[in-house]
Amino acid sequence: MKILVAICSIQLFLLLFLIVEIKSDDPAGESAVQAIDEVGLPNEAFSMPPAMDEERLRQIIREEVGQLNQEDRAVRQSEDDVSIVATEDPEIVAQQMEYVAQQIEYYKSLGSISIKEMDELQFEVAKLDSEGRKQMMSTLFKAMNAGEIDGRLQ
Amino acid sequence: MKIINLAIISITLAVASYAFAGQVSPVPVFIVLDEDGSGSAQGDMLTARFADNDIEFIGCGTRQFDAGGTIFDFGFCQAGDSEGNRAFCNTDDAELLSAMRATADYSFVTFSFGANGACTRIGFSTQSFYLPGDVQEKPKKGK
Repeated sequence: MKILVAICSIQLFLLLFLIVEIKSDDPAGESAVQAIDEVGLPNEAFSMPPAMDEERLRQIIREEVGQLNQEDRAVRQSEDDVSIVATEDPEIVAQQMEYVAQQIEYYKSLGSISIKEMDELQFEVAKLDSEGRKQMMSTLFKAMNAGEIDGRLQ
Repeated sequence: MKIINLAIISITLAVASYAFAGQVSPVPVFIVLDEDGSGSAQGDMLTARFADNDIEFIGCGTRQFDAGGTIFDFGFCQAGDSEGNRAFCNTDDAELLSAMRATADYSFVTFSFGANGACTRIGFSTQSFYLPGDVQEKPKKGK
């Protein structure tokens, strides 16, 4: 117990000594504060009218957002152009025509087509160009009128 | 004698009420198929719906598909009669599509098609004599 008290006393003394030392001998801290005061940053340099700041900021944001939108539209347009081009590509259209024609022949061999299959087939027909759609729809409906495919549209 | 008179009056009233019920003109589905694949069909939807078979039908519809930049917009009419005959036609003609979209409930439908299955004529008629034959309750006083 006596030892503990002794240690606490020593620590307290050292702390007090440290505080005194800091207060009495701290030229660096005081000089730093003085230097800041001497520099004295002028308030005028940062006192732009608030309205101008805000207006300029809004303008900058609008310009940036507008630029971003333009870039986004350019990307979307290029993607759309790719899909339209793909649909009108003669080779791809020919392949799709063959696929749809095969599907119709398949349903002819079955003798029937379900509602779901009919919807899926129409979706495939939609991928053709205008002439291809007419041709395939004609093939399908002729087969249905001839009784070669038993089915109906929903 | 009083009973006979009462019976006569009752029968007369019953006939009279039927006469004032309005004209009804059911048209069962009727299909004509030509040898070259063309044909026509007609019928009213209500009669087809409540026919005493499960194969009679008639109607038209439209579809729109977004094919990635283009819209595939087409319409169709179809019919099946009581003998199992069926007729179908399709079109992408804007005016025929517009007519298809104007159909109403309980319509009379008629259409013709060529050998290629394309609709050449579409007609609709919405008349009182195609409506259901149930007698509606007369509105009560105060309502």
